[in-house]
Amino acid sequence: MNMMEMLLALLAVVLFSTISLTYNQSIWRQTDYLFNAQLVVQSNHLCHEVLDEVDAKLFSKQLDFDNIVSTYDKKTRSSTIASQGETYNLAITAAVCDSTGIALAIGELSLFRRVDVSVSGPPALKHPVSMYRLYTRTYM
Amino acid sequence: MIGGMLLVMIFTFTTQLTEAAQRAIYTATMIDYMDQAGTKINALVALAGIGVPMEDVVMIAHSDSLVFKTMWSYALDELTEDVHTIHIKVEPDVGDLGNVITIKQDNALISNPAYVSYVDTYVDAHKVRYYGYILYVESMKFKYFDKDDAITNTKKDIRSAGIELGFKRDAAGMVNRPLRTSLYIRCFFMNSYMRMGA
Repeated sequence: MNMMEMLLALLAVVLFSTISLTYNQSIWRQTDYLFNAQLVVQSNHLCHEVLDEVDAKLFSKQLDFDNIVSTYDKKTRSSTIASQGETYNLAITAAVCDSTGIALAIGELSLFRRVDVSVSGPPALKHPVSMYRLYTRTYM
Repeated sequence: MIGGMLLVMIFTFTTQLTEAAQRAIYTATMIDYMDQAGTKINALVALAGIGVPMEDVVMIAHSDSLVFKTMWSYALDELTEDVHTIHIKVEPDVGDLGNVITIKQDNALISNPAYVSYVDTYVDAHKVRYYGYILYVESMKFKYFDKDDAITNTKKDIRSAGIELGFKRDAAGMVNRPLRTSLYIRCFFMNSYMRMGA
């Protein structure tokens, strides 16, 4: 094997290694995206769970409209889903707001309340999933 | 020799790339399907108990099935004057599709062939959701909660249900390496809550 052949062999090894590494990196990235997608779907449903709970308890009058903020603001919950082996952390905030959802200063009167839920926790979840719902006083 | 190595590598990569791509496509489809299934079941339970006293809404509350009453017709997507019985249950293995969740109204699958031509027309006109089947299911487990979110098995006290759905599907050409996804949803019997506040 002369010098040129050795050089070609070396270049081939470099080429194969580069292709192999690039390929593996792409597969891992793709797997990450899919894990993330699954966790986003679950997080989305956990957000709905909290927001539906507020709706349900307003309907049943277990929760007074004026107490939404004091009941839900700055609350945290943890939800472990055994089948996934994941624990999700839910951060809930609530505020008096205007009809567009913009928070108002404490003490201002409004017919609207806003509840925000943010879900994080599993390492594969790239970004926290957040959702909010506006609640309107429907009786005066 | 180098040429031979290159060929072997290309074949290996092509095979692996095909497998990885298939798994990715199937998994992405499964995640989307799982989300739709969860939304479908949530929408189903949300209309439970319309026109029915809250103590009588839930008829059967097992860990693998739920039966409730409502005056809402899911088949017609409208309120009726009759009380309907809705069954949500996992049926055993039906072959390649795995277990199947069946959703029945008055003991008839909502996508029963008897309905199909009518429903097809109706779907276009009224955007009716297809209920009936949820496929590729590995498991479905219910747990039930009372108005204070405590776990209960007393039917008259049930106000919401937590449902763990497990899905399994064989990816193309990889029967021995099934894809699994799972989802937990919490469904509230909103009409029972409304009656509590009435």
